[in-house]
Amino acid sequence: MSDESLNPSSLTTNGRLVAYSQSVKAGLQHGIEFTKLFDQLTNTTDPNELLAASTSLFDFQMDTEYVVYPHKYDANDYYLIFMSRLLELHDDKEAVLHSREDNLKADTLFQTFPNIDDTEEFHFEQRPNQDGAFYVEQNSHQVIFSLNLKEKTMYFNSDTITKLFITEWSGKSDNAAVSDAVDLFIEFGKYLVSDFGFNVDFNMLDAANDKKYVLAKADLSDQIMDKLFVVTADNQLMLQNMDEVQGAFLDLGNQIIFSLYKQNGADGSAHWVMTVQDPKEQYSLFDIFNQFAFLKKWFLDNLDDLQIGSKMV
Amino acid sequence: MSDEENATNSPEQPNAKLKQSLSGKIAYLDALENAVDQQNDRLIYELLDPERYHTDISSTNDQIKSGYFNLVDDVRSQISHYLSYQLIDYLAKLYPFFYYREISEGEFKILFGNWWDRREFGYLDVLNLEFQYDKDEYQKLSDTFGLDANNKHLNTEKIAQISEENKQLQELMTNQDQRDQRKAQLRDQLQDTSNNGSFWESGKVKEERQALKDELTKLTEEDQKAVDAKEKMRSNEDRILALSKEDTILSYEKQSIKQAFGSFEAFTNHSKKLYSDYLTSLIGKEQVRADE
Repeated sequence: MSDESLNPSSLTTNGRLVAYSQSVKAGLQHGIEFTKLFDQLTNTTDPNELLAASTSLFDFQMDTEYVVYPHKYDANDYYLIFMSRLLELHDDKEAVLHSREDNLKADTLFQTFPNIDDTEEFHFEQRPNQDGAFYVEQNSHQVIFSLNLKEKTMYFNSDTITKLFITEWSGKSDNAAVSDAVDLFIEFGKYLVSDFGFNVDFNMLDAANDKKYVLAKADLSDQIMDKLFVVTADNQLMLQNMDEVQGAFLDLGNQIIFSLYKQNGADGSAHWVMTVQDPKEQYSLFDIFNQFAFLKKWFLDNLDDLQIGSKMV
Repeated sequence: MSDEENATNSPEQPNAKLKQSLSGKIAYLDALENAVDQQNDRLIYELLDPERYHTDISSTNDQIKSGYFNLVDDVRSQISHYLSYQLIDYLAKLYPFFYYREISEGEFKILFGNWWDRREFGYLDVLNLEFQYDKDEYQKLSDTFGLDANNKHLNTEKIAQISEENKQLQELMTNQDQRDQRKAQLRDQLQDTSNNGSFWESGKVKEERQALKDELTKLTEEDQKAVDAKEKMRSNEDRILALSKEDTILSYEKQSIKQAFGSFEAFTNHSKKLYSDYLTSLIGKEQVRADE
């Protein structure tokens, strides 16, 4: 549409009528383009087509000056549909996509995890001056991860993982159910990597052995380590001294090794990191906190000092 | 002319004596060099202190004379460094809980255990084959074994005492409302007694008033303590952590010694016999080699 050439004030009456018709047609054509993308979003079995449709729809302005569509989904909803459909394409069925009737627009969409708690509803939200969308729990508005389909990034938020999963959810259902839900988010992240080459920061959920969970705070008082030392002894384990660096490690059995040590950067900076290593790379920091209650307690008791930094801003 | 002057004037005798001294030294240094070449650590120890060797190990080899060790005074640290390799290998088997840090050439600090914030436990004197345990640390460990029978740790009582203090401080803080109410009550009563009192206060009224005032003072003092309680409780928690940590370290040390030696006495006795134990083991190795 080129509005300048169709400036109605410069046209004859007939010309204006023609221009009107053309503008309406263009608006309708725009709507048809939308439905093509929408159909692609809901029907395609090709992940790349799914991503392309979702990305386009997220920025799609449906209305024109001449044609306004009253029932529209939020841009965020296309991210949610994308997530559900990608999981579906990979036969993951733990998350359930719901729609709620809404007179003002199209339906409102949200996700639940029936195995954990039906009352917790999840959807995407946008933030002012920030690209992409944020996957949040609706009541608390806690962000679980940020997603940007255009930039191909997904960053988990350690703060919420701690608050929502370790503290709130752990009281509501058994650890296995929480792990299932978390596994689903991890799987989603892995599909983003494998299908599209996304840059994903799994944060505390990353089970890779070389993953370094970097503490947000630069300094760590000896007392934090002392507390861990005392509490491991109470649990018939032993916090061992690391010779090469300032730090300690804990053999949790089954060849699972948890470490906390100071890492010196080449530029002279230093920060504390945690690592979790096991032969099959099955355990993340999140997993061992869920499995070893004393570690979780120590982590939460000293959260101010131990919180993991996040790529998500 | 006396014999003495004769002796001094004769060029041969003092020369012979000097040559004898020098060749003794050369022989000593040669022997030491050979021992190092052959990695014969047993012989090195014998050369370092022949008297102790003959006394403790009762060798019949009396060719080696004492008094030469000061010839190598300036390379003591190098000798110690060299000897440490085989010695530490040997110690690793018998004292698996000791680790050594060479703080300067030939000088070794003993670290007890491989756990977090393990203690420095003194020095290993490689040349004299002696553990020089840190007196304070050794005493703490000894005390820990003493308490073992009662199933107590070194700091059990202190921790209980501080915990009790924190409990009381917590109560002091939680009872603030009660205290405030009681203070208001006391002030009302004081007001009443002064309103109703005649000019000639009876002794009884005076006593009553004093009792009310005393209680008020006591409550105000408790208020002040409650204000300081939070800070005090935090510092108490720090102390408890430090004491618990020490207990944990000591219990690991105790377990290690029990595992390796059975008892503290056995550990101590072995430590004292390091010289003879180690050299006997070196002699044993030599014999095995000779037999092969």
